[in-house]
Amino acid sequence: MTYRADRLILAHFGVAFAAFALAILLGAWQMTVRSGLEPAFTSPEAYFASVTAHGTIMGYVMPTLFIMGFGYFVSVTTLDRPLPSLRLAWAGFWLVIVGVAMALPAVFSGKATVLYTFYPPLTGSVFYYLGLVLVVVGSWFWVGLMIWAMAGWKKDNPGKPVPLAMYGNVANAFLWLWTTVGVAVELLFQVIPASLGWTQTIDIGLARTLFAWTLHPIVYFWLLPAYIVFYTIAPRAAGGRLYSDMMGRLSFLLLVLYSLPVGMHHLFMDPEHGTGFKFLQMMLTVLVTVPTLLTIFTIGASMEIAGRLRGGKGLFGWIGALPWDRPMVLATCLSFVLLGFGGFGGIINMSYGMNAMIHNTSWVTAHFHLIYGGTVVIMYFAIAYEFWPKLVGREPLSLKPIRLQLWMWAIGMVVTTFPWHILGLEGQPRRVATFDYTNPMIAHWQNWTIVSMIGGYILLTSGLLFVWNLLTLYRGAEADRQMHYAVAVYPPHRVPSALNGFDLCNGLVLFLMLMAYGYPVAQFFFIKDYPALVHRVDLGN
Amino acid sequence: MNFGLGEFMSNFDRSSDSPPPGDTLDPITDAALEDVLKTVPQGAFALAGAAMGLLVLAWLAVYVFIFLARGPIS
Amino acid sequence: MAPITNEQELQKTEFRWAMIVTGAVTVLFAVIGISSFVMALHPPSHVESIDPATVSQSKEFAESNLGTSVDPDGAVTVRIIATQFAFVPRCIPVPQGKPVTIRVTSPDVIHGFLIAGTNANTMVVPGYVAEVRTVFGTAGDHLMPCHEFCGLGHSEMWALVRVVPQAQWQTDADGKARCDISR
Repeated sequence: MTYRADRLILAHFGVAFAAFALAILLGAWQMTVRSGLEPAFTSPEAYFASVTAHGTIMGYVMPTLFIMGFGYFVSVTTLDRPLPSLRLAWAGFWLVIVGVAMALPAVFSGKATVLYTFYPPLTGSVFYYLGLVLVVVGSWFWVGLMIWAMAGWKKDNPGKPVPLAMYGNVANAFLWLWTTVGVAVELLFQVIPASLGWTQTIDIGLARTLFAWTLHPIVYFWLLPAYIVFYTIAPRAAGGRLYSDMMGRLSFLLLVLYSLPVGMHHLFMDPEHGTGFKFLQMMLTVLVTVPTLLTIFTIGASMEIAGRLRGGKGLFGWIGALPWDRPMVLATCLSFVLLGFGGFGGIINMSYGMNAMIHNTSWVTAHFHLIYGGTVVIMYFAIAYEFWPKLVGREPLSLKPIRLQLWMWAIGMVVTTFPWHILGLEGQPRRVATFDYTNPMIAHWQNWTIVSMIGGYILLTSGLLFVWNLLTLYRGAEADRQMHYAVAVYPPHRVPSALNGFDLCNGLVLFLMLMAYGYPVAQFFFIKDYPALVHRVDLGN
Repeated sequence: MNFGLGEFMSNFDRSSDSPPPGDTLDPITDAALEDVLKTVPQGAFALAGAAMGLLVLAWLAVYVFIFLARGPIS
Repeated sequence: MAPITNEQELQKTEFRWAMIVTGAVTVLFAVIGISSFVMALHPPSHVESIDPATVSQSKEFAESNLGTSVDPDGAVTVRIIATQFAFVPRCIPVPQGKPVTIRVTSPDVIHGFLIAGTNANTMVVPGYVAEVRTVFGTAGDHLMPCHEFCGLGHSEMWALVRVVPQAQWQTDADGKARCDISR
């Protein structure tokens, strides 16, 4: 590894995790409010501003910055060539920072209490929306650099397979580009003109449809680095080989294809769409489980190779033989377990009519916290523990606090989200600040809510321990700064161009998006519908 | 419905006699790998199969005993 | 299973797993498909637009017409306005074990509701009349919270659905049912 971009990557990771620490603090406080314990600052104004900040940081700021840094690391280490333009990379970073500096003050001053989904006609300060646009535009710089980096490498290495980690990384760059189209159009053409006072009404059906376009694939954008690590780092960390390079490529490709044309499953309960396109997008949503189900086998087999090489015998004996003391192995296994729980909630959500059973209840909050926190963020921790020593050249003092932190995170996730599943089935709505627990019909909800609050504090403790672990790293011994990726059992010599580039992939996405969203979006321009009056939250209506 | 898997597979270069590209830090010998590949992926089949089977069963249980039991919706 | 000695054999194991995945996915498709096409279970998907600025002047959603009404043919329809930060009316009686159609709209921002312990659930989007059709099986009071953030008063926005056994179900001369008279 001759080329480095350490400062650039550390800047992205540093800001991402600083924002993350703030957001988990808010999360724990929100659960205390919901539990009826009336902590300091309890008020609807503070609660919903906090929910807006928590969602904005966890949804837009932390993962975007983390994934940008991750992508730069993967690009430099797998291609063994410098980034196409370090200057543009820094420009993208600073655009994101300026965006965050615009958006968060608007949120904390209560001028943008619209939650991170900003469903209009509720409309807040324009600085919030413009800040988010800058975050997205900054991330587009990253998208461009990743595509450019791969194209440059391919030009110099004709016919060679793009390293799997980089292939997944560029898959995520294209996925993110497609993902952001919906929310960018909604913000630029509907929400920002309204928040500037240029328009007095908004077509709500169109706005919700455009947001749904973004809201599902954004989760796969967060998830892809975890999958990239499952395929390209975890097998080696466990002391084995990647079972199949081809399945990695195929899974990344299918994740891009099927995570995009499915966002309408967020609108199953909406009155602006009929059954036809809801059913179609339900079917496509079922298909997005396929790459994940393929992945659990391939990664399972990769881990089995490692376990058996270490002497594990029998049908399941190899599991115990894995090196569980290594943070990357531990995190991967915990991530898969939590993915199982989160996936269970998810296939119930996407099951068309059954969505009515749990839509907008705490069940949904449980599902996406398990996927985001349990599957994605725990792998971000593992990635940070893997990359940070290589970025700063220091070994961790001890692996013990690292393992403790990962276990606490997984346990905290279970304690937080399992009660939410139960409460959701009982009809507890999400996004409510306080409940009247004196009402005998919901009095028993309070105990479960308090349990999940305790889970929230376990998560907070774990998150702070994570930051502590990174800080103490700087006192450690000198580390090997070389990054090594997993080798496949049969390393690819030549792969079909469909699995070595994205021309076919993007063509198929275009086709699927036109099929899935063409009519649902176009209908708002020819059916007789009525826009809604803008409701300002920052000017007191 | 095999999602084009077979087609992708047939496109692959099947020659695999050459050793993995030089990675001096990879301690795994070909003999050891060959040995474990006598049993792999039986464990992965069992684990992934059990996990997916449980998932589908749990989903079915919720579908029938909670969702359908709560009455029709349209 | 034969030992894996070349890439082709390895890919065969993956292909076999892909077939098992296909089987699992087919089960999901089949169950959802059958309940949708045979049992007519769908998410509420009635598309009907209405001008949110003039909802209260409309004939259907005029205040006097809100609440539960039973048509001469016995069909039960509930009409509700969801507005910052209350449902009108706040208490909704429905007969147990009979098909009920709930029609809701919003004159201001996005709301939504669920009826706890049932499958009744919908978004309420200004500009549209949301329609939910279901049958309430369990007699007694069910909470009906607003389930989408609609402003700072959102947490206080709850209604009550009273499922009345058919023996006690009564309506007035106009076919209207109210919580106080249905008890």
